[in-house]
Amino acid sequence: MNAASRRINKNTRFFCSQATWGSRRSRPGGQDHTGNMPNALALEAASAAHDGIDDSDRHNGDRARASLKQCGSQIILFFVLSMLSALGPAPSLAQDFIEDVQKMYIAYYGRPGDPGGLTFWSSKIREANGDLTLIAENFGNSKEFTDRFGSLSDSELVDNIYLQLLGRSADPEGLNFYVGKLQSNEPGWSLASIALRIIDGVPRGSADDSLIDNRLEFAGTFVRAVSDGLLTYEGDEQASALSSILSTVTMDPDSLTNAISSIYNDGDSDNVVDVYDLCPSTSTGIGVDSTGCPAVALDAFRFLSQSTYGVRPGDIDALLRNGTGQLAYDRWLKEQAKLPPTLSLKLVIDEIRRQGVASATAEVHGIRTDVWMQIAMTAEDQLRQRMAFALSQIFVISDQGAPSKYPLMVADFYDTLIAHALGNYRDLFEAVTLHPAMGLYLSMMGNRKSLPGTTLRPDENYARESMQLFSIGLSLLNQDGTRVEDATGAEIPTYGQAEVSSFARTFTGWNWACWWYATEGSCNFEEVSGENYDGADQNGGTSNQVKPMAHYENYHDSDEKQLLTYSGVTPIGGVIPAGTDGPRALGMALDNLFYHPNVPPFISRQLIQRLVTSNPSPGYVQRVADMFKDDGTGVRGNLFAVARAILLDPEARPQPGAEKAGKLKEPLLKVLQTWRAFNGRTANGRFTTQAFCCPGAGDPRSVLGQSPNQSPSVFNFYSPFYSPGGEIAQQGLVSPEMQLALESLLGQQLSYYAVQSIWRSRPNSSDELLPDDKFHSGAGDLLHLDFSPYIDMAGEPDALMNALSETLFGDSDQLSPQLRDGIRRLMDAYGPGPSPDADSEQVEIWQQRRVREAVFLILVSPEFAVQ
Amino acid sequence: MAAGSTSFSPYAYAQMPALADYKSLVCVFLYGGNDSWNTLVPYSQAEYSAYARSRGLGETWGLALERSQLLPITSDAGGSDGATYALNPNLRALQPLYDSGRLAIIPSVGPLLEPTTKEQYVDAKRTGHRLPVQLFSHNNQQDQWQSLNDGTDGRTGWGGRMVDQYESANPVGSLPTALAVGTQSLLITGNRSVPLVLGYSGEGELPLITWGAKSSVRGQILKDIFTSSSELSSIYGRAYGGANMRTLRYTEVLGRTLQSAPNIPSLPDFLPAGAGLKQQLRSVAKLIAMREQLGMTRQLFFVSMGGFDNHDALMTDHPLLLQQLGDAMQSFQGAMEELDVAKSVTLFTSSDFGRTLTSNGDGSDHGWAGLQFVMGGSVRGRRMYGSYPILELDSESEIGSGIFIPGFSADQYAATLARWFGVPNDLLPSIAPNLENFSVRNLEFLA
Repeated sequence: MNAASRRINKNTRFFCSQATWGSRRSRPGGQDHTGNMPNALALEAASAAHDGIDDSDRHNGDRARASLKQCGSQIILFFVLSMLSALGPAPSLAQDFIEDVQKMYIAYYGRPGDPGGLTFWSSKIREANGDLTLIAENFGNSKEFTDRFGSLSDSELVDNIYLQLLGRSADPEGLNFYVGKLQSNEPGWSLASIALRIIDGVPRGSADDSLIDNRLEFAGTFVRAVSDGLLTYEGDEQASALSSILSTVTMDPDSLTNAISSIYNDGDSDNVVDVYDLCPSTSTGIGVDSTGCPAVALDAFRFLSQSTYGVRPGDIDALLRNGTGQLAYDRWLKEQAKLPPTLSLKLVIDEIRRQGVASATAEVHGIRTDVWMQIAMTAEDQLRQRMAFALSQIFVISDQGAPSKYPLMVADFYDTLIAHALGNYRDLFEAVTLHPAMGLYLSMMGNRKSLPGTTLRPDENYARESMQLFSIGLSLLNQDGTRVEDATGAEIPTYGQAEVSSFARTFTGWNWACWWYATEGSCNFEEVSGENYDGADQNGGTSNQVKPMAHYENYHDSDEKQLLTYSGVTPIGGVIPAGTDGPRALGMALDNLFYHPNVPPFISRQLIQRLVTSNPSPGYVQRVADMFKDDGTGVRGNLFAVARAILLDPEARPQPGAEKAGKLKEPLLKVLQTWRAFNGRTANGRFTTQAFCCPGAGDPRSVLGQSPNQSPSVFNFYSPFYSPGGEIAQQGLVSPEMQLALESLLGQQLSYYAVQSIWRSRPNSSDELLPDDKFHSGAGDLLHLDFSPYIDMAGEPDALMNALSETLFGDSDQLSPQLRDGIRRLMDAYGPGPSPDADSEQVEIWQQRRVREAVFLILVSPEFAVQ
Repeated sequence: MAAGSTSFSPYAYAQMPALADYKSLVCVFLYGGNDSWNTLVPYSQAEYSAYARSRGLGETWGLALERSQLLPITSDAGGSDGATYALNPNLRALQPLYDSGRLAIIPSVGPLLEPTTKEQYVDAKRTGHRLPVQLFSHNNQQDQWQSLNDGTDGRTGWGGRMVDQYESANPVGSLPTALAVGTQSLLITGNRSVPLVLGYSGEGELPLITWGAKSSVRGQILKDIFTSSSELSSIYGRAYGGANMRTLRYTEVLGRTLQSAPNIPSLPDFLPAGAGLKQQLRSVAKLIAMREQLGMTRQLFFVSMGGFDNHDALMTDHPLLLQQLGDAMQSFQGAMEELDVAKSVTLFTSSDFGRTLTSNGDGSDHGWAGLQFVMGGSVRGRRMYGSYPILELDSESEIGSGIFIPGFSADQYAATLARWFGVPNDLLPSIAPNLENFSVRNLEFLA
């Protein structure tokens, strides 16, 4: 079910409009090729709401935009009136006439033109060399007109045009004149041509003109939404609904915003969009940047920083190619969801073969993390990958534990996360539960029922951690993620030892799948073991390292089990009846957890923390949890819908300077963002952990404290509740990533960023002043950042800082004055530059040094540490 | 208050007059929950038999150690009536330390808010008897051990609150009183005390920002940038800047100190760098060796070992962990004696919880009461403090699955350590807030 099928309806949301106009400054490499193209509609449409921007900007039609701020709310709506793109491949010269056609639609049909109609009729006008009267006759003959207006008298028809266009009845003089012409059958006088004349007769700047502008604005918004696939134009049935909304638009700006919001908020529970404000354009708190332009790029940059492994040169332009803001983001999210998953296991196996190493060795863990890097840097399905990494920090396994002997199994486990990252949480939970890597890590593998007469009893490890960490957490939560408290203000535990024991009994009877050469079901619980991947694979089978665990019923405790109880509990009474077989019991147990009311807020809050902010407001958690509960189609646990709700929430677009907004970047993600921002390259095209060669041990863990599937325990690299001492704790806030901000690691990271940005030589350089690959042996893997776009700015610190700020923050003005001062001083330390007769090598060294020192300071700055 | 200022000047407060003597506490945290019952095993026949029965001696799923393999120790006092006990065979390194009086054992200790019997535990919900929240959960019980609060708001650790009282014990510009190796630690985080975290390498490496002709300019500019981060709007940016400021401030003195520290025979320089407990304790020993040069009179260290969550393969994995633990402790005690500072340094263990007595097939699960070691020249060793429970299901302090209620609270344990460190009695409640609920305030294992 997608947004396209929504219907138009009234709603009660009110917006005020405070529009701002401006043009986006040129971005590096992005010349404005369309600036001379007048876009009359775009400009006129919002002119009722604009103020104070000079005409040269206003006529920069493609880049013009307005914003509407929601009254009494932090939400600000951004409009980019980009008709060129909104209308797709229409002949560009026909753009001149779109506004005229739109006016005709409003006057004659009383509704916005649909994109197809606008394009068609503006082309016709173009063919007629701009003479609208030549097409008026045909424009007026339609089934829609007959159906909707065929029963009206001539006088009513003329009056209706006044109402639709100007919101008022015709004056008697005009009415008599036009009715007379209409009934005279004189050539050139049709209802459509009368509409045209009424339009032409409106004086510029009059009250009527303002009203028309507002109606055009509404019409234009609708057209863009249709073009963006958020709404469909469903023909006549919708036409009268649209018409009635349009009729509410007056010269009052509030009436416009009200009408616009009504087409997006229809109360249709059959639609995932309704849960949060999907605005017709970006909802952002960023406001305007230092030059007075709406910070569209900054907003987009933040969005991609939250949803990918880092913003590459060109990513923002690509994202905004067909519009801006929430519409563009939403389209991007949907496109991402359709991309095939990039999986790692096959790539790991290929690399093992290429290097000729055995599959079970410790170095394969290195290959696994190398492949992870490769995928993070190059895969197109960035949203899925970013979600998978977030999920890998909730459903934690680690090669620092029992899976250490099976690197391929760890890769396959990660693939399980990738495969389900935008799927359903319940499916993911089951796949994770039955994966042998999890079986080994949390010892459900080999778990067996108790033996009568002995003290042997089932293993409680998975029972406990799957509740505490993977589903419901320790204490009862409200849907907004806050704790439910008892009368004394104490938390209420979600489970006790009795439930742990029941789940432990439920999770009995699972062990390795049978060996590849054996008939399924022929293996013995007490003998079956993990297979060497090479052997199994080369002999035509598939290793049980990558097969879900198998069930051995004889070892399953099939007595009755009392699981969790809660309102609407499943199974009935929270009871697994005696005699239920193991696989069915497991499904019932996972359902028992899945439908527990804690799951939506518990999982949603953690995903928000991984993607957007450490301290989401209760409202934010609630909105996402609501989506977790029901994606609009009655589906619980839709992770794509959850990701979308997280990334499109107004709170993901914070106000500048918001103290608690955002989060500290995960150390590994900060490195990837750096690599991607500067177009990181290696000589051999591979992206590997060897890039960390200097000065650490070639292992992201030793430099960053973080590496995929290498956390020290099932409690991940940091706790979602971690709060460092000082003001963060005093304010009752958390900052999980601060748990890794250890002096020892920060020192390593200062070194790493210094080597990466200052000291690492240019590819193929023999320059001795830049200490080359001093630390490194495998130069082919050595990662180089591309600073070439900035070298020419070495002599202009301000230009350089603006450009670097754009690259790393999406906006030229995101560096603090203190940081700018520091950069300027460090650049100055290299002097004003070589003498005019210096050779080009000397000049380049001077340039490189100044640029690289600037980059270094930004990369290690507190500003860049925060997302 | 300037935002973030607390991060930058944790040592600006003077609480106590400068102290002439030197004392140092070293916490060895055993992450995952050490299996106590196989660390120290009942040895007298009746008690051993109960253990063997409960742990399935001879069964494929059994967890019991063979009696003949055990390392018996004798107690001058303490322990159950007439019962004797023995160390895990892989703790051979600790046997002479115990026998020579430098090691004490507290067999049953854990988080308790007030004295608790089995009946009180069972009826707690009805009677309102106060129990630590989220018993048996790793992170909560780690926090509980380290913070000693009621588990709901563990923002500071007992050691951190303790060293908050000792800011004047060490010179400004030297190292912080509290240092951890490798990981952040709640135990040594105070209201004002922000611990310094050393790397595993122990080399005192300086960041490579010091290279090149412009190194001093670059270094100064970095300091300026991190210092001014207190003016940033983002609370995360301020915290991050503060952490980097500490990094710059301390790595230099740390690097200089570690590089000029002497070779200590028991923890020799030729031991390769690594994350092992022995390497962590080598860094600690080197800083203790340099205490006079640094001007330190009080120090609190936190080192740790992971891997004790032995749900699986307990019989193969746990002995190896104990081997590492015992060897490292022995080496550290040797190093302290070589530095002639043994009377001033006390090492103690802590862990999430003890484990279940019963087997889950291949290991044990999360429990409550556990055993801890205290080692050093001031320890009243060759003794067990408090009783070792009878290892039977349904015995006096057993509450199901072979989980036992602790005999002593972690508050009593910590208060004993803090008292030795020099904390006056009237300040103990701020460090061990539950102490007042227990009649015994000092377990007397330190002289």
